[in-house]
Amino acid sequence: MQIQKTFEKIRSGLSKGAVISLKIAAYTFPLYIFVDILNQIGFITKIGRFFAPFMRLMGLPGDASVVLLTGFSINLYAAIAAMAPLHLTIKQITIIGLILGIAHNLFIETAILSRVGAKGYFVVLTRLFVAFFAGGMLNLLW
Amino acid sequence: MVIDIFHSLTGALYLTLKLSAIIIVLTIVYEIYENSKLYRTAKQLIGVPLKKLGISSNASITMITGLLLGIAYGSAILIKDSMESKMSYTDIILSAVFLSICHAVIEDTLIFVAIGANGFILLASRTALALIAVTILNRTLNK
Repeated sequence: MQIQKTFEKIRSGLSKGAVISLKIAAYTFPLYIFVDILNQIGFITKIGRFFAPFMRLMGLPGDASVVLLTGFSINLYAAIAAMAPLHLTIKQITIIGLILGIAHNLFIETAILSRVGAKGYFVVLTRLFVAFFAGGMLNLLW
Repeated sequence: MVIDIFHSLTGALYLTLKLSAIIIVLTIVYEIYENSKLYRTAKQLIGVPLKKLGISSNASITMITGLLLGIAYGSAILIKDSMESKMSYTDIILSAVFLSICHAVIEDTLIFVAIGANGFILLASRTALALIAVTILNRTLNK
């Protein structure tokens, strides 16, 4: 009985997981190709040059600003799709992971958190501030 | 300028497969966890450290859901729970700040580890930052 129940759970988890994976792949797959091509034609380098002075504070190359913008506005899967073609170092990936782990998917998550009862602008500002602070600290300490 | 489409395609495929594997395994684990006794045990376990932070046990389910599922996937439970349980203003503010810094810890950490990040540093610094932020905020609110 219990085993049968667990088996049922595994099956429904498998099918739900497959559906979620497909939904996520529907934008990570094209986004990866898009960013990889932007990178190959040198467009990312151009955007990166603009943000480079700020990104340097967190030990990141200017190119990574595209990854952060993607993560802030969309979500982590999109950011990872944008980051993979850039071939960053382990330290840089971990710093981006920390920054984006704290602040991501800001539009949707802030909407949800304000429905729970928290003030939207307060949540966004706290997250961005803590995220950049954490990124800068990790860069200094590592 | 030659664009190497094949390079882009194989990279995209590789990343998609890696992410799908993580997502499917996690969904199965959540599916089993959701209806198990573990859920209630976790609620009791988390109550004590939460109290130290100034968050009452009314926010336990909100915190567990947020920490494990994340804000977007867990939104249904979060909104439902916030309407049903009697969370105080302090509970809401403190758990919102904690969760906005530190949430979906399993999934977020795993997908970054999959592309090469140091998972331990990610997890430890997020937890530490959330604890510090909530402690400071709790002190200021209580003044």
